[in-house]
Amino acid sequence: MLKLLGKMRPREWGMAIVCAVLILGQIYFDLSLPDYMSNLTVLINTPGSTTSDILNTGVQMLGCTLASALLAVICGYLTAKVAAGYGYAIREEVFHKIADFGQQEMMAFSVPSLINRTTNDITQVQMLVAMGNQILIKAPVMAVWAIIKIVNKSWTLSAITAGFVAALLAMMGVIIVVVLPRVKRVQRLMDRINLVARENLTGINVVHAYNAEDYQNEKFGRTNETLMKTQLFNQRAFALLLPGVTLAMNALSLAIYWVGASIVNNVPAEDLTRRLTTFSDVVVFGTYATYVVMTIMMMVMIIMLLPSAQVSAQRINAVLDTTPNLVQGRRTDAPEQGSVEFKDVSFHYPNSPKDVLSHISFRVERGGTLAIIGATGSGKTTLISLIARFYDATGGEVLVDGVNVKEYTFDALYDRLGYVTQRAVLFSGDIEGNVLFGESAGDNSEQAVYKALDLAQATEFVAKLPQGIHAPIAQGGANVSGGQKQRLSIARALARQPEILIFDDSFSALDYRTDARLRGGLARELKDTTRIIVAQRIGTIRDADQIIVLDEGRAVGMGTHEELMKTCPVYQEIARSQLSSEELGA
Amino acid sequence: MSSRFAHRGMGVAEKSKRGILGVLRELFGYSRKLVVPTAVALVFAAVGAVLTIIGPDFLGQITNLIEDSLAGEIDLVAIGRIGAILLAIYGLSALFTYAEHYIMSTITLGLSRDLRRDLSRKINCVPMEYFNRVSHGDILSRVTNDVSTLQQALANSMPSIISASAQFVGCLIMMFVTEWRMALAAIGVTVLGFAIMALVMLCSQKFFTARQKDLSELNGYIEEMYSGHDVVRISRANGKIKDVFNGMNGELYDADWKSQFLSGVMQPLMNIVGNLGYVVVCVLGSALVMGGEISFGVIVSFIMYVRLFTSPLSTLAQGMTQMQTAAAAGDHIFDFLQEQEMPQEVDCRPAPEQIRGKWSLTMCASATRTTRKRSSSRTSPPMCSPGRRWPLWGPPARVRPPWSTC
Repeated sequence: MLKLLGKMRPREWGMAIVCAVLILGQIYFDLSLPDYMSNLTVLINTPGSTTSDILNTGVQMLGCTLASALLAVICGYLTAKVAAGYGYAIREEVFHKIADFGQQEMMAFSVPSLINRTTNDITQVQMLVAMGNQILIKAPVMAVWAIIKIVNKSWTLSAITAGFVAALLAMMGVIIVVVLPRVKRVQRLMDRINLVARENLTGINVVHAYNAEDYQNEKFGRTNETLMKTQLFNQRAFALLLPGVTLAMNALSLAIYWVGASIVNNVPAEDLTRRLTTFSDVVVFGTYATYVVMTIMMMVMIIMLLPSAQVSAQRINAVLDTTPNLVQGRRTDAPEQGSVEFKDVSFHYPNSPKDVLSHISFRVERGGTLAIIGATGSGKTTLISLIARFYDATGGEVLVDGVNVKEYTFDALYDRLGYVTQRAVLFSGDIEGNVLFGESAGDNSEQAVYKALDLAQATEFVAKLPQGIHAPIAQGGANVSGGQKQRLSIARALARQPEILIFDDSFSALDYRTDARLRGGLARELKDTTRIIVAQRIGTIRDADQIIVLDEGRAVGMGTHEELMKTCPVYQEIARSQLSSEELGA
Repeated sequence: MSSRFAHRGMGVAEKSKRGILGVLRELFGYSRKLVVPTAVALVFAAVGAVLTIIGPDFLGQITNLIEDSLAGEIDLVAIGRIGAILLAIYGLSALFTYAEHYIMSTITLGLSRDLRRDLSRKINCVPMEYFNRVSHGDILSRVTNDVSTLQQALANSMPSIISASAQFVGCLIMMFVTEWRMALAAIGVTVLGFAIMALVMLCSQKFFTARQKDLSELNGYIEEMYSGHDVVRISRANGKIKDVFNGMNGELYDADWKSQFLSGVMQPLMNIVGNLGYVVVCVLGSALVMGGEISFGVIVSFIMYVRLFTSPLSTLAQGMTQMQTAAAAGDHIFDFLQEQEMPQEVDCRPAPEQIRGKWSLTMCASATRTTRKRSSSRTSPPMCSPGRRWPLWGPPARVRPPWSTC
């Protein structure tokens, strides 16, 4: 928590400090009031005082109140600025940090958890700052100040007050120790609720198609139930606090009058002036003691917020402390154009020793087509993700245009690549915005959009939309079909006008005819563009210049369709399962 | 690009259209079994509050006992007796308050579980077209944030509003019983407090809704960009999404500090009113004591009455702002729950023994689509036996009417 506070910008620190000073002033004025009251008590009981004396004191008291009010309003303004500004700054930093995360970091945290960290967690911490600035500074100072004012008035009464305060603190301590771990659990369960609901949302089509509603509901229900039970325990425990503190406060003022009576009684009755001052001390002591307990009550409120804010702070810090694994190079130029080369490349994920890819070597020249085929989990996606530097190879070298990908700046690398991910991703907005998403070496004209859509075989359906390329896209592209989504995400890669196009199983949602037309178009229009295609269907890749057959991370075959049909058993097997005997014979 | 992606979400500024009472009515309609425990808890809250009000009267008696015998022996036994009664009252009050908290947290947590469950179920029932209008982040924040906000408001704010009102009315009565002139003075001060409170509330409402709206839009954007992170990266969109984010974040900051300021200023303002009351009571009381019209104990009682009388006002003020946030949250929740559901689909779920291979399942899935598109004459999807191949090609999908996606 403290560490995260360090992220506060100087401007906010300045305002917070000004605010703290104002709070001191506020406390000064607030605590002056009982003193005036004490004066009044003496005035009342002293024969000969006039109403104007009383009014005089009254006006002074009024002045104190208004001064305190003015300070409070200024302070409230500053606090609001501080808290909102702090939330703003942290939110920005977290979002920027995550935007620059690599695939590895995204996986390690998981997307729903990162969303929560950027939204809820920051709100929690911000709330604490808002209240903390007012109360965390005010309460202890006020308590200490009030104690200083009363401690020399009566040791007995001070001891009683101290006893109450100690008992209250002990009670708070116990509750916090018991509840804190459970508050952390609530946070985790909230994450889980979010995860399950989100899963349902993103997979809504699948859920509908498979009638999986009951399954989803049950999954949600379990977490929901645990969440409720944990929260129930926490809130019941916290429910003890408030009545406890109120009772303590009331009992304390009672005790002060009770004990105060006997103290006054102990002063010899002849010494009336001393009796009077002692009595007025008791009354004032009562007020101050209430102040002390009240400030503690305010701290209780903060403490109720503290555990969850603490957890949130930790989770935000975890994000901010992460250094992305991938560091970009400096290079922007290259000796070649459109070539991709793997030199003895191996790769394993950070937390597993097993190689997902081992000793892969190949080279594609400008305008060539490389296809990669293999069973699910054979390492196809991993292989091409190394080209786009989603991960770094753990052995060997990956070269684009004759330069190791690690040497390029990210911009230089991604300007050379057009990459279509396996899962077609669209963003809310319109079609044009999706096709021109981000920055690229390509031009951003409407012409370019139409050309990319045309090549991606998307013109037909886009033209039928009333708003054409300005037709809205829902979040996650929920209002277009799987095949349309895929064609739009292909168009996005094409619009970048890259040297190298990479398709990660991007034709699977297309029917054979569209698939063929699309590939034909690419071959005709983009002769100089290198194409790397991951596919499941032999039909998609049989025309490729070079085919790599992957099996458990190893290249078990490399060559053209015809060559592989003769030499590679794994390839033959895939072919047999997909093609009819006539096609095989052909 | 920023313009293209920046204006998203609902567009129209939302208002808490149901209002606080409307949301409460929805809630009790939603769960009938809520009514009795809530009523009991609220009564407990009121009783707990009223019991604390009797306190100052007794304290005043103690003070009078001391003051009367300032010149002689103080009757410690009488003070002890009054003290014991008072302690019992305070204890009882604490007990009632705890019982109220216990009941409220139990029922509201049960309620929020049910709400979450139904919201989650509802996700599967709204037409796909709904997702064009409302982002995933928005829906998710209804399931998590909005439900939590509502629960907290119901468990904390509602009882505190009731107990504060009880305390307020009780105090009023006790003050008039004790000394009517001082009561009038204290009330005069408090009316001022009310006026300020109403003014602040009026101003703050629009910032609160603005804040809620900005927040949910930002959440939607964050969710989308994180989910499509790999595409963002490969499209070199990092810089641009940061820009869009900064714009939205800036808007949120604006609404954020304004609503925060107004709600933060409420408490000090109420304190001032309290202190003002304190001053008035002290001065007026002193004058009256000197005139021999009242005893000093009355001032002591009144000092506490003024605190007890104005503190419910700040509680009320705070409770009302919280209820307002809760009303906005309740709107979100019930809007979604009451969203038009898509027509009940023909149940094409194959009987368990029919599921033998993935093909039969796939057929079922696509058949769901065709049955709705065509006339009702084809009610059952064609089944194919496991092992047999069934071509699933067709012309590339057209842009389908929204309801057909499910």
